[in-house]
Amino acid sequence: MVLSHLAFFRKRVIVTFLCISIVLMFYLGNVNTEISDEAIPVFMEISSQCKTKGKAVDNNLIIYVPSEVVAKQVSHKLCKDDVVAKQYGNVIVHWGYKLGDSVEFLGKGVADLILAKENIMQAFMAESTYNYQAVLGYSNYTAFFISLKDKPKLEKLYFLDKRIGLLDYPTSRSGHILPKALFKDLKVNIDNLDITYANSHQGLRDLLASGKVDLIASYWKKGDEQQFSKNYIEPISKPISGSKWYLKMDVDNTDLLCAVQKNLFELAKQNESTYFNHVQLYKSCNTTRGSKAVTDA
Amino acid sequence: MHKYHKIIISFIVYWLILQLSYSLGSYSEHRSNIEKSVNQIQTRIALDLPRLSLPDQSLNNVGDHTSIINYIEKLNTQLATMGFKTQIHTIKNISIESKDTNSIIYRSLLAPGESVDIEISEPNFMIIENLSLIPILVALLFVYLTLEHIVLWQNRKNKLLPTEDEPKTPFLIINLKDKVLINSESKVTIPLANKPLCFYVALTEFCTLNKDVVLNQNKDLPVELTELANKYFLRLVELGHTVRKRPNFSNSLEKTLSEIRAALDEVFIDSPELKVIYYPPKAHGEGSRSKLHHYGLSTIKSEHIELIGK
Repeated sequence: MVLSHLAFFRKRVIVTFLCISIVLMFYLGNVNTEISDEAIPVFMEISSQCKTKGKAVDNNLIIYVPSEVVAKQVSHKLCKDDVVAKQYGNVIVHWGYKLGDSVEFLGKGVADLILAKENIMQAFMAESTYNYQAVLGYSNYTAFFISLKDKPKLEKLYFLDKRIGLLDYPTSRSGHILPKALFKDLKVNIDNLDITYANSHQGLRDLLASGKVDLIASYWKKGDEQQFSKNYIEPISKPISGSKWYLKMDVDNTDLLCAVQKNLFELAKQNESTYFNHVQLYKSCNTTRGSKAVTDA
Repeated sequence: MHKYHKIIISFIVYWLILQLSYSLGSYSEHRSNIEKSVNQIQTRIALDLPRLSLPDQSLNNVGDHTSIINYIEKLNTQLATMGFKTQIHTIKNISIESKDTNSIIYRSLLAPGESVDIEISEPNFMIIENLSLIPILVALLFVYLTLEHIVLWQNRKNKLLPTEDEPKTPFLIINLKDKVLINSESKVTIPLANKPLCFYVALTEFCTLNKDVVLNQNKDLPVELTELANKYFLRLVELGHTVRKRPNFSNSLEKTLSEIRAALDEVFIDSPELKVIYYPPKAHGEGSRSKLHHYGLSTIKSEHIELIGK
């Protein structure tokens, strides 16, 4: 056998190197697929912040709106406003995820501007405690029982064998408070009724359309006649007031009030929904275009 | 089997061993990654729990399906960007549609007043995804470094089937027709007289058959050896080499052995190490008169000798 430089590589050396290589491969395979140790960052947004052009960097305009989409629109709009810029450095908007959030922002007077229902405002007496004043409000509306196959009758017997869809959050007047108050007036024990809850008015409509319930308590909006019959609705009560924008008036800051009103009015005009672009203005401002849009009750 | 087949087989064996080790490493990391990400997901969901609108029977809450689905999708996007292969699948019975049937890890988040069951889909370990170039390269390196051993291994196997290019051990050819000793390798041919020739042939045959019989000059020749020698002498007569009557092989034994040794010296002049097999041992010094001296061929075997004209 011809000796070469490889003669050095004898069996024992080979086996040693092979063992080392096997361990090395294990290590490489291990390292190759390793993932980072860092924690998953917070990706859920419950608020956003934007800067105005102004220099009052320590002053924050805090807004609370239960809907994320509306919240972002409002904050972007107000950030560009000159009057807001003179008084505030930042606009912080919260939308939150839970019902309880509105209690915190309103009940403690944290928010400078808040979109709330009149009944909540009254419950916390926020108008007198923090001097929240309505700036702009959406139209009054009526709560209805909407049925799929017959016209609902506001009688005890009618409800007893019906499956009823209601909203699961107790601040809703049309979907929760008023129908339950009606049941109370009719002396119907709510525990004996077949009630299915939904999370939203749209959820209620889906329940009714799919036949899972016989009637629902909600408002009547444009477009509903495509799915349901207008003949099969029955009003539960007199018209109830729509949600309103309230501004906290610690001082008589009418410039801000008028600026906020102007911006909200412009936003409302851009809204595609016929309900949300019909608004009522409170506290007349000379700076607004003077065109009051009064709703059709 | 061809040389290249051996090399390919060696490569495959090396590669399989190294790849197996690599895959085991990947697999152990895969398991620990899953454990790690499941913990991270649990922590994230636990922290976000107060913000999630989950169904709650006791409070008549149906929960907000859309926002939970939205949350799950956002979390999954986040996981994917972080390189996690696990995906959250279900939070409290609200599931996203999943594409494949990965195995599911079940966890329960126990919060005061509620328990939230979550399901996390775990990716299957794909061997294919864990193939790497490194084990192949290292296997190739090993094939190169151990090439000599691989070739040797091939030769060792082939020894059972001798090939022409393999060098043969020279062996002795005894030609009774021409009365010569021939080295099969170097073709050296040395003539030998009748008597030593017959005796040598008889000696090789006798020693092949009777390994343990001690042949000593001071003793008489064994009968079998004499008979064999006579037999080969008769064969020489048959071949027409002589008409004389057969010699007495016991006489002048030392002289006969010397003649044989002289002939063998010449036959194996190029490869003296082979003489050990064929050479009747000489007595050294005092040993010549020793009763222990053995002039037989103790290591000879039948394949060492080829007899022509038997």
